Amino acid sequence: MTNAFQNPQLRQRGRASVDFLAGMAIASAPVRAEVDTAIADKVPEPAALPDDLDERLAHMDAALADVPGYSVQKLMGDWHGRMHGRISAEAFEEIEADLKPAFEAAESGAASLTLNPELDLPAYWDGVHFHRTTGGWEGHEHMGYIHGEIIHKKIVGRFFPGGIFQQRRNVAAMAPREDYQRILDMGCSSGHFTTALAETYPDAQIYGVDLSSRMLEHAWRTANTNGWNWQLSQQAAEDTNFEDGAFDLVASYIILHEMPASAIRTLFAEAFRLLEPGGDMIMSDVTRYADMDKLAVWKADRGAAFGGEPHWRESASLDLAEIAREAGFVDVTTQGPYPYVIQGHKP
Amino acid sequence: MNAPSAGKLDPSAFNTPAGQIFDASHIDNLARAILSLTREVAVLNDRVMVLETLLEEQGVVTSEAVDTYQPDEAFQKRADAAVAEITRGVIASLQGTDKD
Repeated sequence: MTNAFQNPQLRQRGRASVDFLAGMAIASAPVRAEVDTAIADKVPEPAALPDDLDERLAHMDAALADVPGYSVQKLMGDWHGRMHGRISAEAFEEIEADLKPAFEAAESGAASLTLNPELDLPAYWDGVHFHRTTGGWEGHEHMGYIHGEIIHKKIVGRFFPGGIFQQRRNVAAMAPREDYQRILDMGCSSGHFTTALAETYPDAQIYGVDLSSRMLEHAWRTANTNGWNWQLSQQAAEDTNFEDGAFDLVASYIILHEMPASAIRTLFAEAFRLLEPGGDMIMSDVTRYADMDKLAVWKADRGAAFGGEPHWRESASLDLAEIAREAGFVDVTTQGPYPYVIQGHKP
Repeated sequence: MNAPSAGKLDPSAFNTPAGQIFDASHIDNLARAILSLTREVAVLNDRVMVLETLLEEQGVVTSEAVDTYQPDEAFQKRADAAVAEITRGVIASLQGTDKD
């Protein structure tokens, strides 16, 4: 059997396993309902919850300790976190031989990829298994494919509200101009948002940077498969080797929460440096804690704590508009709640 | 597990020795194992559904045909319903809502 490079057909065990992962998430609705009912009963005044987020987590754990659904919810989240990467890697390995011709074809084309084995990987990233992906982004030779084509398209896309690819297209289309010449995707990962940028601005030269060589390899093969001439390089988005004013649009999609505050501030400063005068910035990320009530923050914060998101709390607590203005951007606007989109202009 | 003491000289105590198998720190692993087994049940159930479908359509089926079977919309709907049913039962038992 041969297979398409994008959105491949899985073999029976892998297909049924990823369907089970997606189905388990969908079938957990009664558990969420029990927990929500218990919360309404046990936390009648959410505004009185502790301000300190660690104290709030401990308070809620204690309040819900005798609620069976809460334990089941934690179990299902934990199992999903531990297993989704392993199951998806298994599903990939079942079709790896089928994909060989598609991989070979995807390794020639108009796109370029520059990896840097000597890159000094930042401590906030190196060794971290983001999303509890087994081994982290570099944990499998084809982690970019596993994440981009199986986890995102076969699992997350089925239960995540709003359609994860349509969300990216929507954000790409929010930039103010009809056309751009040179666009940088800061933290492009396996290329899903880069794809949205390329489809929205077909005449632009697209650049992408990321720390993960495995993710960049998948973005590179994706570009080649689609005839796109992306220029991809392994660099920290907050510390690139591009010249001042090299772009007329810098963009990112849901990458900031994977970075601590110091790196985010540096990234906005780098975005400002990289834009030509008159250039546009559009970034997006998770819902701000400041825009949520205490219970919603607890849910998000707990999900981050047990979902492989070490920087979520610090990042989601930031005022990104203030950071953008500090970097020099003007006409800064924000739109939310999810994705939270921030735009600005370089004078 | 604590073995019965030979010093008490009650040999019948060795028939069904008392003792705790899982301490609290291992209960979570047991719960995870239940979900892992549920996955396997779902996979096998799907495989039986594919077999039944192909047998009806073709009469003779190879393992390759089962492995590479791609669901149409109707099959996917039935498969999703089966996963929901299997998962619902296990969740209800874990949640303790499957009481008479």
